[in-house]
Amino acid sequence: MHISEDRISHIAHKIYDKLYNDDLADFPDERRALDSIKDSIEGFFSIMEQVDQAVRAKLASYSQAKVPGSREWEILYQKFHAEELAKRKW
Amino acid sequence: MRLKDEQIARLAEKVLGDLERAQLVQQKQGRGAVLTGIKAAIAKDVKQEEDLERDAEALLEQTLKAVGGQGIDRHKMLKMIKDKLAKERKIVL
Repeated sequence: MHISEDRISHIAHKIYDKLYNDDLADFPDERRALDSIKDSIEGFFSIMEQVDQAVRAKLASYSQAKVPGSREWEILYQKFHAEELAKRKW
Repeated sequence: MRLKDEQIARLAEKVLGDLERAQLVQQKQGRGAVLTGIKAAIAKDVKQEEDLERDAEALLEQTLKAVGGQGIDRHKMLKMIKDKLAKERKIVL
């Protein structure tokens, strides 16, 4: 799942603005808070990418390899995806 | 970017957890309200992108139907339409 730096920054600002404008939170250091939100989003997508690659590699090496996109492939993808997340304590 | 509800919830939890650990946030209406706010902001943006993609596909089909579609790079044209819609709607892709 690729996500551009611009998109990460855009979403981070949306989150920040929502919390601030709805009076849900204050940020003692705006710059650092925004950087933290961006890092969190980047980290999230980085892990999702790693998980996706690990699952695809596992599926490709599966003794009874399925056709990508088929119903069976999707079911196994979801199963391995959940296992991979659990392995990483996510 | 397509995110399921559970992924949005996980991302929101990570954003807030990281802010808390770094002591970069003062929550004014409780943790639950802040978490809900983060989820809402992400979900709204994801929905806008999904709407844009759907509208771009529809516009592409209309355009291809109107001009016959021969010799047109479908992928390139879809990207052009998406970029144009994103600019109009002030969405960053």
